[in-house]
Parts: sequence; structure tokens; C-alpha cells
Amino acid sequence: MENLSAIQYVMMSFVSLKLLSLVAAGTLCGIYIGAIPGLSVTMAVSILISFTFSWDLNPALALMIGIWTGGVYGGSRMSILLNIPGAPAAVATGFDGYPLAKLGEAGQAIGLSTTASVIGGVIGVVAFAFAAPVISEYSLMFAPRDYLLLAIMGILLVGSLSGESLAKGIFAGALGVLLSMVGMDNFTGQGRFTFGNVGLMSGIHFVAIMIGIFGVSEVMVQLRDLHIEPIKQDVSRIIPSWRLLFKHLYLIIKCSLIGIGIGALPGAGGDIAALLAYGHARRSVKHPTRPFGEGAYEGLIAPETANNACIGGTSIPMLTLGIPGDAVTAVIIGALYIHGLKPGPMLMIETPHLLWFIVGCMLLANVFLLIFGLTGIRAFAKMVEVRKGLLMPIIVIISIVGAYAINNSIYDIYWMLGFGIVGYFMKQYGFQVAPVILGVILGPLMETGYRQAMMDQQNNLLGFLAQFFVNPLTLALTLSIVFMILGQTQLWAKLRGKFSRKIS
Amino acid sequence: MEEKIVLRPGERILVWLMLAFSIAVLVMALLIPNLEHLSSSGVFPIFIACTMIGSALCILWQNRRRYKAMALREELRLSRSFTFPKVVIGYVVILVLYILLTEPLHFLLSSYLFLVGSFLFLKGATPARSFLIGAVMLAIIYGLFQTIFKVILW
Repeated sequence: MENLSAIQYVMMSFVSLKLLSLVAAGTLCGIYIGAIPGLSVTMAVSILISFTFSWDLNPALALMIGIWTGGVYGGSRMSILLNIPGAPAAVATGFDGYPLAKLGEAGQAIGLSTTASVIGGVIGVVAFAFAAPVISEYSLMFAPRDYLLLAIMGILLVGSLSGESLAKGIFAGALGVLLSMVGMDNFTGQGRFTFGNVGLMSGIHFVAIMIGIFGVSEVMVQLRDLHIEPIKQDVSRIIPSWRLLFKHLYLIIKCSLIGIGIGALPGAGGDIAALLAYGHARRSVKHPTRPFGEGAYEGLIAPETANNACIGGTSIPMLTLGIPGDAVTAVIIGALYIHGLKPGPMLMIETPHLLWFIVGCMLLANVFLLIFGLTGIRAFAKMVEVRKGLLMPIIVIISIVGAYAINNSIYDIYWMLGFGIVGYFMKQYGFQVAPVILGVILGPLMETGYRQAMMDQQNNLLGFLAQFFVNPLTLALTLSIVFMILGQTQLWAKLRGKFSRKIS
Repeated sequence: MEEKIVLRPGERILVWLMLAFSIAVLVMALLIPNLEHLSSSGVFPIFIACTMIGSALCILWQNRRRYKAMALREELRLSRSFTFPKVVIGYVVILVLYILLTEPLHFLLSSYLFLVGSFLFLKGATPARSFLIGAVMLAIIYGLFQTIFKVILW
């Protein structure tokens, strides 16, 4: 009887024309909002709350879930076509998606990213529906020190992806963490790196940094090659072949699980999931279609699967614990409060049908994602065929409006320009800019993890260090980080060489 | 571990500047008040500044032979054309002018002038088409943000 009721709630959005239309409209809008740099899904859902304030809960949720699902996917479009991620979760998509577009395979790249996103999204939703209590219990076991280690791992992973040098990656990551510390200290209320300026007490918004370091700097880099004719994009083959999908099915499933696992951790969202999945693909795929960073399909599939699977994952702590997995879920929790609901363990007891309704909307949103994702690509791909002299100023204007929209402040535009110039220098001299953004996002998580772990040990350094070796989970994370660093050293390369010679 | 990559004129100068910046960050972190215990406000910034200094020194050490291959004066001369091509300098000037004028001239006028000026500077379109495309694009952007996304443009 209970199962029948659950199925009814899952099917509710499929059979009601109103709910169906709202999910469809939300998904379509989400794709385009996600594709515009600076217009985040978080912002869209925040604005939406003001529209849906007086609505019933179900239509409001249907629209928000549509925008959320579409927006996470939409960020990949600009990443593939212009190497400007529409959202942090799409940063890793550009590593191989943009080289694919440069090879003239934007259509294939978008088709593949759509299919991978949908499969990842559906696996994520199924996991959310059936494994929510188990995974949320597991994430409760994470102590502050584990969050610190997880954040360090994320930055090191991206740093090691920088190809040239781990040191450059670490510098970029540390710079990002430093930027996240500008402003008021959340623990003591003390100003840090503010130079006595009250305006800096609220910090530098990461969206301004993101637009500057990805958008404006990319425009500046592109200006150097104005004379190069745009590559004609082949969008005739959008739908990927079954053979191609089947070949990568194992990778898709693995990356979906990464997305779900990371998403279930409070504070860790699609951006980290996508980067970790990319790192996993890079390490585990021995024979990619092309070298990673030069248009490998595996490098595109992995982050796209993970960031959409993450939606299901982030929903687990959101509904069962009332803890946001990322910024969007924080806003959705706010929306649930507005509608008189209190996300947390009691929500599952008092209104269990809500879980099944949300599951239904998420599944429907993925259906629409497949439809809208595989259509209208021609118009999108045409954007890259436009002359750079026309396209670049328009990107600058959109970026400027996006930066302004954060706080309706001109100062965010100044920050954006400043970080655009910083990003240009970094790109010119072989520094990856992605670790900067990761550092900005993970900085607060790292610092909170460090300080809470230190306070747990009454500021005893030895006690603090001992924590990393006593708990099996923490030990596993510590060893992973040690291996990550050692794996980049000459000593490791020598040892590996000796070992392989011995075997042969 | 020497990197097998091309020599980029100006890289050594940039890394030294980064090192100087990191040292300045360390000094500022040390000046954060109430540095009494290991969970104080200033400890984590000190750790991050040290990480930046360490990685900048590491970059200098890893690339020492590559950096030595070019005299500083020669590097400075080559870095001008490598880092600051005329088109980039010109466009940054236009961008800075736009951002400075955007508040007094408001969004519509400043953005229109910027779009037309950029199209002409980057040879994206003929003068007549620049004026037309600029107007159409601005109308779309304004309508989209002001009406649909409810961004109150200045």
C-alpha cells in the first residue's frame, strides 16, 4: 500500500499538465540560464522564490527542480563552445569539451554531454530515492578534519591536472583560498586582508572572481588570435551512437557514483564531484579516445555525469538532515521553509510523500533535459562561428551585467576586471586558473575544518596531527593525499621505473 | 624536475613578483591581531601564505636552468610583445574606459558606445553594421536582464 502511494506521488508530475509544463519550462530556462556566465542557478532559484512565494508547494517545487536540473547541465554548453564555464560545476567540462569544439566536434561534444548528464542524473535520482537514509548516515560520520582533508584533496587533484607543474597548481589553489579569506572571519568577526576598508568586510564574491578569471581573461587571450578564422562546427551528428555510449557505460556508472557520494557530503557540490570524476577518468582510463586535455570523450563524459548525478546526492542531506549540499540546495531549503516545511529527519516522517514527489519531478526534468539538450544545438553552435570581433564585446557586456547582478554593485565589476587581468597573466604563463576558483569555493570549508579540528584538541598540535591517523576514514583520506603528492615527485617516478624494470 | 616546455619571456619576472606578493601576504597574516593559539584568525592565512611562498620557490627551483637561458634585459624586451600585444593593450584601455564611464553615463549609453567602439576596433563589422548590431544586441541584453531576470541595470 505504501509502495503504491509512493508510485502515485512519483507519477504526479507526469500526469498533471500544469506540473508537467512547469518542469518543462523550468528545465528549458535552466539550460539557458546555466549557459550564461554569471547567471548562476542559485541566483535563478533565489529570484524564483520571490515569484513562487504565493504558489502552492508542488508547482513551486516543480519549477525550481526544473531550473536546477537544467541549470547544472546548461553550464557545460558555454564551457564546450567558448571555454567559459556557465557555472563552477562546468569547469572540468571545458578541459576536454573546449578542445573538442576547437576540433570542430561541438555537436558531438554537446550530444555526448547531454546523454551522459541524463544517465548520471537518473542514476543520481534513483540513488536519492533508495539510498538516502544510508548515505546520509554515512556522511554524518565525517568529522571537521575529514572536510579539511577532502578540500585539500580537491585542490591537489586540480593542481595535479595542470599538466605543467604541481607547484603552479598549488600556488593557484592557495591564491584562491587566500581570496576566500578576504573579509570578516566567520568565527571571530575580525576583518582580514581588508586594509581597513568596510566594503571589503563582506569579502569578494566568488562569482565576480569566476567571471573575471574565466570570462574576461578568455576574451583577452582570444584577442591575440583575432585573425584566426572560426572553426566550422559539425553539428550534424548530435545523438551519440549506442556503441560509443556502451563503450563508456562503466565510466558513466563509476562517475555517477562519485557524483552521488560527493553530493551527499554537506558542503561538497557538483563542482568538486565533476573535478574528482575528471581526475578519476584521467587516472583510470588507460586508452582514451584522444589524450586528456586534447578532446578525450572520457574527459567530457566523466564531469558531466558526475555533476548531474550530484543533484540526487545533494538532495539526500538536504531533505533528510536539513543540511545544504551546495548553494542551490541552501536556497531550496529556504524555499521549503517559506512554504512551511522544515527539512530534516522529521520531514521524512511527517511528509514522506514529498520525497517521492521530488523524485518524480527530478526524473521528469531529466526526460526534458534529453529532449531540449539534443535540440536547438545548431543555434548554440553557431555562436562559435560568429567573428570574434563581434562575439567578444558581447561576452564582455554579459559578463559585466552578470558581475553587477551579484549585489547590484559597480564594485563587483571592478573586481571582475581585476581578476580578468590576473587570469590573463596566469594563462599566458602556464598557470591553470581552475584551482583558483576551487580554492575560493573550498577555502571556507578548509578553514572551518582546520579550526574546528584544532579546537577539538584544545589547540594541541600533536593531538591535532594524531587525529589524522586514528580514524580509518581519516587515515584513508590522509594516505590518499600523501600518495597524490608523492606521485608527482621524481622519487616516485624513479621507484616506479625500478619496479617496472624488476617486473619485466 | 625540469619542465620540458617552451620558454615564455617574462615568466621569471612574474614568478618573482608572485613570491614578493606571497611574502607581503605572510607579513599581513602575521599582523592579524590575537594570534594567541593555533585556531586563531591569523593561523590559517599564515599557513596559506607559507604554501604560496613554498610553491613559488619550487617553481623558481624547478625552472632554474630554463630561466637562466635568457638574460633579464632580453627577457624584458621580448615579454613586451609576448604579454602585451597592441590589440590586447588597446582593448584593455577601451574596457577600463567603459567601466569608468559606465556609472556617470549609465548602462545604455556607455554599453552602446562600448559595443560600437569594440566592433570597430576589433574589425568585427563595418561602421554601419556596427551601429546597427550594437543597437540590436543592446536591446536584447537589456530586455533579457531587465525584464526576465529582473536585474536592475544602472
